[in-house]
Amino acid sequence: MDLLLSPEQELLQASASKLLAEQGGVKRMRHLRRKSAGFERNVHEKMALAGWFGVLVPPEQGGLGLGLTELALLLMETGRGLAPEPVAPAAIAAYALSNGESSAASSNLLEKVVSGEMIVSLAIEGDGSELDNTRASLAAVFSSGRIVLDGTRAGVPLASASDGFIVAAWSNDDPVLCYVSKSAIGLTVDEHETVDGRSYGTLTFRAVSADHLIAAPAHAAPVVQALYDMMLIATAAELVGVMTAALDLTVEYLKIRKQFGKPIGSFQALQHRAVDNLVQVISTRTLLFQICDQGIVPSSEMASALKAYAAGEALALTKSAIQMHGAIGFTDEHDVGLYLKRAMWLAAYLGNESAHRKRFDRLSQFEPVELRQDH
Amino acid sequence: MFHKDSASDATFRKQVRSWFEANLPRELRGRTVRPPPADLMVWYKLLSERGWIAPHWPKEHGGMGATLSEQIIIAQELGRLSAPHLPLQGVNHLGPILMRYGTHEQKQRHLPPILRGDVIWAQGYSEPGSGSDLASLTTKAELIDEHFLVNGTKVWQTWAHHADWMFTLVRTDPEAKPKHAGISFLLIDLRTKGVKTKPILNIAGDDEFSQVLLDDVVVTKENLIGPLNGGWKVANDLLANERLFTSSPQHALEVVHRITRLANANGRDGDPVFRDKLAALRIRIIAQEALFWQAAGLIANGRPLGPASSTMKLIATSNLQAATDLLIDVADTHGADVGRQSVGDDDVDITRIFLQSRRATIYGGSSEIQRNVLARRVLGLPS
Repeated sequence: MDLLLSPEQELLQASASKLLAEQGGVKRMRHLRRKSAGFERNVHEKMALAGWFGVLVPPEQGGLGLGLTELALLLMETGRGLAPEPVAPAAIAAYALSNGESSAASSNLLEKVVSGEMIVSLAIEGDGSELDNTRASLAAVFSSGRIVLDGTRAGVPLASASDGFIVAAWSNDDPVLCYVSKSAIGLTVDEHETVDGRSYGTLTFRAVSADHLIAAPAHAAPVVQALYDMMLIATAAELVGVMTAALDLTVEYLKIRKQFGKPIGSFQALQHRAVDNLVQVISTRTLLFQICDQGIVPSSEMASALKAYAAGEALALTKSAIQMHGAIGFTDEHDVGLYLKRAMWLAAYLGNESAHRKRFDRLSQFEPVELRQDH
Repeated sequence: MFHKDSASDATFRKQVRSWFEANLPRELRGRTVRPPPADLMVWYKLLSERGWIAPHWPKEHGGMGATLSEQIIIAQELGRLSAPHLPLQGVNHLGPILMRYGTHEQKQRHLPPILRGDVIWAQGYSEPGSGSDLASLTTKAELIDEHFLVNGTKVWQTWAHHADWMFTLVRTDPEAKPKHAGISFLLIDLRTKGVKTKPILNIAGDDEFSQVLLDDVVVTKENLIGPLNGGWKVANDLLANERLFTSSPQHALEVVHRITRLANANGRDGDPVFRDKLAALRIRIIAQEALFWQAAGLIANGRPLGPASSTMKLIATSNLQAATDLLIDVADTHGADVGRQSVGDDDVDITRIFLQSRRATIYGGSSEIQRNVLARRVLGLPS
């Protein structure tokens, strides 16, 4: 509505929206709910062909060389259409591979992720929600040229359907980033169903040899940090898409549903509720875009502020959307419930509102100004 | 946060900061309640002599001709020292209206005294029977030969009892349909015979606003601004800048500074319940900052704010009130105390700040009116 998007960015968003609509939109997602793969490889490949997974990768490495705003636009459409393909993990895994140490293995893998040939997910979350809590949960030991992993990684989206994982582990006090294929010996995947009809996995590593190193302990810390913060931004972008769609559905319904001989959207109680939801969409989206505009690597403080804000506002909005739909909103048949459930998962993923408020508080400094200086 | 000063803006900020620090009287910094105009005019006149009282006025009218980013810098630097709010109804409201709708004579007569601080203006829109439904106003102005005969009552005028003149909306056509088509914009000298101003004590115990009784007040025709019966548009044609500044995150941030000082002093800064509330508030203000800078970008590109100003007002006022909620919360058992509490270098009257902030969601179009505007203009909901 009030965005300052460039014509190129508007075009990117429009073409993403068109691509997902052509694949069947929300109806497609409804059919894929609670199915084992949970998404469609052929759609994933179409996204790859449109350049989605190389959005943050420089052109000389086969990507589009764009920024977080463009990634956010793609993810807003992903959220709006409830597309189940792992867009954010793929695009951010590609970013990790293009920013790690250059090796033949990494560039080979990068090419396959960008082309959609391989599905690579991110395994950077510990048992707790904060990245910093992961220290104890997955240890990496360097032994005769190999990296041996022991421990767990939680919250890995679409783990069973992935070909491999970008894994963050700890070598003593330093993080290390490596790639592990799903077929690695000693790796087990426990799948958990989530309320939105999808799943995530918990990975258990028992003396697993990593396939190859992406970033060594000396260099990995900023990359791991960036991956986590980018995933927070990406999750918030998808939440903005979910919010937009839920509000659109609701406003449409308020105009056509009649009670007491009038469209229910003429009642001030519902108008004001809908406006409060509109304000939530506008403010969350604006915060998202302003943060994306700060550069490709977001500040951790701002990433947590955004995740906390988006999680809270999206849950409030989607609950309100159910309320305004009345009984039909309480059915499985109506799409509005799908948005609430998706918001629930995205809000919880990588740390919820409370967790990120806490992380924001820990990371940010707020010093009151001195009032009466002498000069 | 979402904005970095350009090199020239950074130089400008330095210049403004050091001048404010050197010249803003210490007794006017960090005041809980704005002092009456008489105490403030020293600072008004200092700014005027420096040429900074009207940053957004063009140079041809004696203003500073500042760019939008310079205007924001001035507002931020004033906020940094918790400078008192000046009686700027003339500078912020009437001045731009006169530049747009005034005749050459009207501009010549009224603009320079506003700049110098020789004339204090009050805004006279609301009436006892016309608040949110302003277009129903009934203060009557009959045009008889070369003058208007004005009768009626205006209310909630900030500092009208300290003001010299009032710009006001009056009914010049009682039959007009719609009602706003019969309203004119009139300037009234408050020393005219038949004008009576009565201060009203507000909920915070301050007599900041007043009632203006108009009984057979004779106003010459030269005081009509814009066309007869065309006053509604004149009054509502606010500048985008003005809408932007009223929704600045600065207002809530000033309260956050006070909350933090208080928490540091009374030990609440280590309380996780308090820290969670403060983090939630600060995050909301960061979202407001994002909106503010996006809106500033729109204005700088010459694009209209449109209904975004309603969104911004809703957010700005709810954040301000959330901040004053936390201010009395952090004071714990002192959260209902009357009078100032000394906190470090600050004197805070927290209950007064809390009570004062009640008006934010009422004046300038209540939050409910803003929601009505957004429901119609953005969501397209039926009436």
